[in-house]
Amino acid sequence: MTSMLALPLYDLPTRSSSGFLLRWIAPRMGPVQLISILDTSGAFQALSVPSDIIVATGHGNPDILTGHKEAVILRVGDYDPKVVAGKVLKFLSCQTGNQLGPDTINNGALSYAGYGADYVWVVDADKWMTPWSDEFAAKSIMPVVDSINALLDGETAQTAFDIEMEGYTRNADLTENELIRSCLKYNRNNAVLLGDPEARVKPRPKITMPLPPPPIIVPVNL
Amino acid sequence: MAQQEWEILKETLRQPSSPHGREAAAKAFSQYERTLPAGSKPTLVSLGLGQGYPNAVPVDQISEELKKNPKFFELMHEIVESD
Repeated sequence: MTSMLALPLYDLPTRSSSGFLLRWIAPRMGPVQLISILDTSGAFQALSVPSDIIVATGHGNPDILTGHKEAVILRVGDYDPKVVAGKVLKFLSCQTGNQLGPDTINNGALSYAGYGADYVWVVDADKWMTPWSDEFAAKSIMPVVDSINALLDGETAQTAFDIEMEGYTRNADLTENELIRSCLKYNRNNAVLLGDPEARVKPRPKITMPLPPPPIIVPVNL
Repeated sequence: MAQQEWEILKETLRQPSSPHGREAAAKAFSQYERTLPAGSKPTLVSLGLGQGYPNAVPVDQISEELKKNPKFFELMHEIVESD
């Protein structure tokens, strides 16, 4: 069984979210990884079909998920249901929980996890070359990483969702930075899980961490 | 970290998004920002698309964005109210 991992890398938010997934999730998912300029609609829709799990990050709004340079990779009413049918979906993006998430369930996705509002967090812009080492961003993105790893361990969508929520709560309790704490609570309050809470995928092999960090593709226009 | 400054910011963000209200929020954020530790480049980011505010706002520029952008004021209101 294959997996789909879509990781745009063209601006500060996508470099941060994709950077963490590249560091902690990509080694467990394959063979299909759409990184940077490869994260396009055609590739996403064609290569998602044989996957049992789709993990995607990128800018979004209620009915659109985008990839590289805001290219639409999934839009309500404009994709083959085979792209999502029978799959567990995790979208780290803004607002797709309002329309796109329900639409994927209507088109046969087993479960969808995402957010009904903007996904917001604080990054250290000085860490843009090695975003996975950003301690500000880790407070928000590592709960997402832990949740996806739970899915890859074969846990249910509900268990994975709960792990992410507990991560936000734990990190909010630990941080002394009020802005970061508010972002964590905001993301937690707006997280959405739809579909079958018992949905799960075939467990992937565990990877012994730490792995060497991945190379980051440096965009020419950043 | 700076509970008093944070509470003042919260209160200003509860006011309507008028030019005067945004100016007050911007001033309150500046005062809060002075309480944050220096030494890095913290930036508030989001994965929104076409929301009417930048996807990345350095924390030291949040007060400016609050002053001029009603949609960003609304986003900050929602974020801060979550606390």
